[in-house]
Amino acid sequence: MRIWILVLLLLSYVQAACAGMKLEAEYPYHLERQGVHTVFEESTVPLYVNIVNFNNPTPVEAEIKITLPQGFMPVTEGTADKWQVQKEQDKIIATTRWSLPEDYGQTFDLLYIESQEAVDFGEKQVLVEASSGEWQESKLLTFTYEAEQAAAATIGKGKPKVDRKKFNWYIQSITFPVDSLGLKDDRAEAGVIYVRDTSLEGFRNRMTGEGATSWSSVFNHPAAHLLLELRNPQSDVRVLKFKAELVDKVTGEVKPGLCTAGKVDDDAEQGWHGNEEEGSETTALISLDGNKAPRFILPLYIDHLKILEGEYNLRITISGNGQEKRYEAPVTIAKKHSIGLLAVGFAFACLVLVIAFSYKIKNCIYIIGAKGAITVALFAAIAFGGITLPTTILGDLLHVFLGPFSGLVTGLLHGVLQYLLIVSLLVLYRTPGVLSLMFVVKFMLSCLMFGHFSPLGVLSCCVSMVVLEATLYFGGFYKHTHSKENFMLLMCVLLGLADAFITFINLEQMMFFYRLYYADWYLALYMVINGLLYSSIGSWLGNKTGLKLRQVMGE
Amino acid sequence: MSVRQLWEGTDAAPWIQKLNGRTKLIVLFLFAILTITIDNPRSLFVLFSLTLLLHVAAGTSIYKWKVLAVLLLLGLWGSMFSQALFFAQSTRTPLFVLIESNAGFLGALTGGLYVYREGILYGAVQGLRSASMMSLGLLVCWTSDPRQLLQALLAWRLSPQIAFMLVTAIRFLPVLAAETGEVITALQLRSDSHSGRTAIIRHLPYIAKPLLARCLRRAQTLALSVVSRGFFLASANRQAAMWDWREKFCCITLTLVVAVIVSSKISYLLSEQGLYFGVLRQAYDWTKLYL
Repeated sequence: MRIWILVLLLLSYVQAACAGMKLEAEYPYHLERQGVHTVFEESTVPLYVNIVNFNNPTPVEAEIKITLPQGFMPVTEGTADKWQVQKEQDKIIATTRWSLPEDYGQTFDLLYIESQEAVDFGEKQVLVEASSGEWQESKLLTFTYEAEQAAAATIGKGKPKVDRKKFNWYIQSITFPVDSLGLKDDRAEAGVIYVRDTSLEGFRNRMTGEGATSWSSVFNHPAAHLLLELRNPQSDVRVLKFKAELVDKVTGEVKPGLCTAGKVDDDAEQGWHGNEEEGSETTALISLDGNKAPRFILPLYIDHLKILEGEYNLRITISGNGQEKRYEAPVTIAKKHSIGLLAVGFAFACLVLVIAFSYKIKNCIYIIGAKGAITVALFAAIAFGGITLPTTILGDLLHVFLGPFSGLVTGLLHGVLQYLLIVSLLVLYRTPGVLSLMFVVKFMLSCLMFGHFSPLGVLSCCVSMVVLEATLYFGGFYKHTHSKENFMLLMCVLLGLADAFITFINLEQMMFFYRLYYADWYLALYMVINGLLYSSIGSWLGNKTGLKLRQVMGE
Repeated sequence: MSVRQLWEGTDAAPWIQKLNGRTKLIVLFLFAILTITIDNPRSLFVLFSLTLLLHVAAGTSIYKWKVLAVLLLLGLWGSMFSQALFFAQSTRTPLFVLIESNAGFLGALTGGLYVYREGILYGAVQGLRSASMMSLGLLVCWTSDPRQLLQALLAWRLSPQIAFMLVTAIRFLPVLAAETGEVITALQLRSDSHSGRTAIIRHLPYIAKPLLARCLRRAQTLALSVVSRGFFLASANRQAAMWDWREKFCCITLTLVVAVIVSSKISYLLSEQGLYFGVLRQAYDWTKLYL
């Protein structure tokens, strides 16, 4: 036991003895390349200074002093409050004070150093000194100052005129969309960014207040990549901020749509998390590493909830050390109408099914006989006169006052009356195909009387026939000759759900074929009220009416 | 002019009355395909104007022009209204705010409801599709007897039983309308309330049952009559009216034209998704300019 106490005391002593600080410095500093000790003529290259402190019980102050060789000047534009520059004899000295945190901390900064004109080439030295109380440490950094390389040849024969008062990097071009390797597909139209269809997810997420679909999904799959080409005639090495925004072509106002990937913690999925307060822009840090023609492949992230289709300008802003360069290029945001395409595909599948099973519809006529067929025809006539006729004429009139919401009124006919007729007919003739027969006659009536002979009309009719017949068949409606009330209630709800689905498919088809826009909440509203509610009520009324009509059949 | 006269094609120009039902239905269907294929506003307007010119050539009466104008304007208004609310393209300028995005539950549900200026124009352009289809549909209806179109369907191997059902439905439409009137009158007379005796809307929920009961009785009588005469299972008289070769030629040409246009549009859309063929470059340009 005594030995253990002794060991612990020894350890605490060792820890206290080891408390201290460590200086790290590197010049020229490159973000991506290590061990480079050459600075080229007229370039601006950062000096990296880092102080690691550990086991300090309280925060301490540290003083940093950097002595530069003759002809080299620190760039304090934008950082004048951090670094003080003074001239001593023929050397430039930059000083600053840092507050080092308690316990453990790494405090670092980049000081950009610019070489002046008429500096002799050869070996140079930068002295970095740091002190805090009794602690003192210094680093002598040696580098070679060389003439400009032949790299200028890569950006053209003529050497651009360099304005010594500025940093001379500039944006040469932007190309998009490119792939993650920066390769442009010549087959894809330039300047067009396709956004995937997230209508359903968007509505769900709006209701849960999450914003876009899934941030990890958004950030793992950027909408597009952009190839940014800069020119860096002075071979500067620096870190720059990249910002991409969508701006209105006419007003120049920044429009919502782009977003920035923010990594906050490991609790969020894959560490990604969106922050709506960051603004409508995609930002990133890019590093000039001395290359005269650097290229960057940058992902563009899109907030699917906020983005709107249309023509914009993509504004690229590169900034750093108080300098800002802008570039604008036209961009078209086009949404992929995958759900619409899926709806149309489903409708075509229904058309194929109807054609394939058309012989069964014909057989159904023989099963129900002349009386049944005439009953179906008369019911279809009532459906045409009571639904198609008023909704064609009055529906347009209601549109004037209620706009798109007129459907909620005319839906009373489409939902309640139509399903009343369908279910009462099915209660009288419980045979597969009866419902389809009624839809066929009603559709043909509307073709002959109103000229509603369009692809959308044919497809909508087929969707209704297939979905409702399938619901009745798989719901077990045709298995029994009589159904209990509870079963019929279930069937009515099932028919309501089926009609909600049909409503969704038809609206999506309309949006696809007629290039119309409907909000996701509007689709949901129609599905719930016109589809589920009206049709379920209509079906239930139809069941009651059908049971009464059976008495007439028996007369 | 009565409603019945409105739907009869007796006052149309003879040339269009004489056209075969098949020609009319094919043109109507192909025209519908064209309107949903084309996106270019000018081309859409040309198609719409074409339907109006056909009305002029068919000698559509003033009364029918008025009806057509009302229906077209109402349809266009509906399209403009809905797109003004739901327009989802940039740039969009809100003219009115119907629901603020921060207005409680409705605001959260809708994300705000605004009337957008650009949406009105967009709705007008897109509304040209349905307007064109409606215009041509009404032209076909106003210049054709339903029997003529039915003959066309029969010529395309429509089941005689379904054709019989269709004829029955058409024949009994006026009868059913009259019976609905009788049922409403009966319900009004039986009503014990003085305040709503004449209000039709009050009796609407009670119309269905008596009307359907009458339908069943009528079906029983008709079925007896039809079966006893052997009408129902007999094969239909397929002696369809001769289809003039010139009409046939026009239909084939139009079908080919529409097929080319649709193929061109599909190939253009596929090229946007990366399925690009260099040999079709001119077709892509043409599609982009005119379709």
